Amino acid sequence: MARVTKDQNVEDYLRSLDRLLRNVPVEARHGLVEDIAEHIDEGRERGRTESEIIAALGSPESVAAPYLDEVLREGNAPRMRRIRRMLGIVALVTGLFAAIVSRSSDSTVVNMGFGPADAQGLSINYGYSDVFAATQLLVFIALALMVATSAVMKPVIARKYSIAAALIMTFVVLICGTGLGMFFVPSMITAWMLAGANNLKLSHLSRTKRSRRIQIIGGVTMLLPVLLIISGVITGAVDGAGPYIYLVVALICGIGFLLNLRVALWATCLIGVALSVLSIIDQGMLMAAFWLAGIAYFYFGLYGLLWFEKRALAQ
Amino acid sequence: MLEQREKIATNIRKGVLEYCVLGSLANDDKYGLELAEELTKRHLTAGEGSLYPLLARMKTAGLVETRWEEGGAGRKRKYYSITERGRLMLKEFRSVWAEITTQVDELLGGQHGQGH
Repeated sequence: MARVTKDQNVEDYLRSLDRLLRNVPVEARHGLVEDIAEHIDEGRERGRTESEIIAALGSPESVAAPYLDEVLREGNAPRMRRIRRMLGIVALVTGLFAAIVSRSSDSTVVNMGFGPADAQGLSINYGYSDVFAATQLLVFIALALMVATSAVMKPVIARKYSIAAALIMTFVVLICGTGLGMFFVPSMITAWMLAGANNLKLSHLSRTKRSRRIQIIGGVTMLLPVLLIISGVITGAVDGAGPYIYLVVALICGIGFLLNLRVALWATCLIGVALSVLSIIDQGMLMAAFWLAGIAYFYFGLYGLLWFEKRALAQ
Repeated sequence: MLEQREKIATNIRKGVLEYCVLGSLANDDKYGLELAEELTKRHLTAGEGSLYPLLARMKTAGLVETRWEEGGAGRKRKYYSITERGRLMLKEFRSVWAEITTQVDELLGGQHGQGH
């Protein structure tokens, strides 16, 4: 009976230590709990009683303290704060921009009885009323605000909040479907990027690995269409200067992205913005193409600028 | 007064524990419990548990390295040893420590001496 209670003490101790470390990077958390478990085992073999061992270890809080301090310090590190602030601004700006583009795309112009007649004909017409249109604008802005808020929260709360915000945005995109939904995509991506930035459990190593993955995915995404262009040009299916311009842009961005060249990251990001703006001009189906391609370029570029390690030049 | 004493000791230990670990490992490779017992015996650490986060940080910093060896009861034991970088750090600490203790002793000794 006595033995059971003592074992219970050790169990409790390790469990509460593990719980305290729940916001700490996984490797560090497991490492520390294993070290302490080994310490307890060794102590038993030395003939120390379990309560002696536990008393000598100090409270689980004091053992976990250095890690918890570090997590908060890293979460509040200037670089992380800058990234979160930047994402907060991106959330607001893209939310507002998406609202404007989405309004430009539908029937408000027709309902209000002004604007160029040919543009009215071309627009994707949802047949919304003015009140609905105004509400939609407010909804966009409210959601953008919701996403941006986690940028100024304290690390541990920000984590939970930003995941909830990202899930809500994903839900919004899904229920709005392919038409209206695509205008919420930027807010959704920003929300998930904020959730990532608020994740204290990611160690520096896992962040580097994640960056490498995004680097490859982004590079391949930008380079694959090059094959289509080349085959199009060879077979004569496309002509004019357009394909060649696209070829140059995609090659510079794609290869530069894979090589983590700062200039290429900026170019990718800005071309993304330009493509999204262009989507206002064309009101037909091409709008979706410009909009989505713009989003892809913009967010790949943004991710690279925020997270890729700067290449050490002089070291 | 005992509380004050403990507070002073804790503050000073905090700054030197890392180098005490290096100093201990400079003589001999040790596993966690051995190291903990040595430091506790010398009253250099209040809680044995806080040693492990410190060791993990020192490993990341490249001051110590670990290897697994056969221990008691067929279990593997994690042994810590000092690295070249750790030795360099220890050397730096020695000179800083010598300087500080000399100055502090002189200052405190001087004030103490005034009474006589």
